[in-house]
Amino acid sequence: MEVGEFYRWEAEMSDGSVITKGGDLAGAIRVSIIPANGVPFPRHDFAGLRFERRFLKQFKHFTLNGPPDREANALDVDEKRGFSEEERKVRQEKRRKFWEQKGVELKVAPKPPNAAQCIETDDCRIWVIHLTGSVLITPKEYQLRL
Amino acid sequence: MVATVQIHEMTGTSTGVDKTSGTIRFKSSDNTTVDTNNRLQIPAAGDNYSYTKNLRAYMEAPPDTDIQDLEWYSDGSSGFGTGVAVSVKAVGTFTTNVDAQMTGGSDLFGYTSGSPLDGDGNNAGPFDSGDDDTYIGDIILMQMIVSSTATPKTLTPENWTLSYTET
Repeated sequence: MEVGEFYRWEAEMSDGSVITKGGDLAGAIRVSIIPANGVPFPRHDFAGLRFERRFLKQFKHFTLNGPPDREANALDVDEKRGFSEEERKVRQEKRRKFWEQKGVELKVAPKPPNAAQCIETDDCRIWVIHLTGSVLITPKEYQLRL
Repeated sequence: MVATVQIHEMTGTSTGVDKTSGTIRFKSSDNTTVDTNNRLQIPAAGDNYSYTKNLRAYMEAPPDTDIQDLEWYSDGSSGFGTGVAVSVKAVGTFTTNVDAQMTGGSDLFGYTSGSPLDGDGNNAGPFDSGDDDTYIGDIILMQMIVSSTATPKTLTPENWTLSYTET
């Protein structure tokens, strides 16, 4: 599942209909940001606000002059093998000592992608961060960059 | 449906290698391989230039409505150390990678979340389902510059971010 799919949205309009596509929220009486199946984050419901529009911001990262792929992929391989976080840390430390003795320094993998649903009202923006499920409320002109 | 946008290191006008969450490595050779070959040499005087890199966003799956406001930025702080810099600019078309000095670029670390590089000023959006499986936005041209004041070392990796608005 891509991080942009961690949450979906729906808006209930004043006539009772529910929309799930588009960006215009004029006339909506409720906007919900709902986690996808299996995503362990809370649902967020908003009502009693003058909604205007919504959109999704996505953030993709890569590194410049990072380590050769062998080192960057080691952590990813351990996760896919199903090692617990504790076991991954022990294995990471063992690899670090091994490569330190060999003369190569181990580096961490690149920053993971992220996304944020944005609901814009008449006086603020409400952001729901996909990687944490948390809510951030900012002034209407604020541009979130993660 | 949520769009899927990848970051590609271009190898031609309409072809590239997916580097999303991966690594771009500046080298003294024109290839996309992330290895320790073709390292940039520190000159006795003046500057040495890496081969340029062409980066571009690729729409792998379309959005429900459209994508716009492509922006690129760094964390604003270079960990590359003395004598190592990266120059960057947004252009409209692919140019063959060269190791001659790239003109018209600006310091990569001058582009931050508060002041990002406009990623669709030349190839403007919005981009919709008609752009599925194509490259969108501007090409980001980059080049590393190594000066005689640099010291031999393995560089600390730096992040470069693409953000966009989707409806």
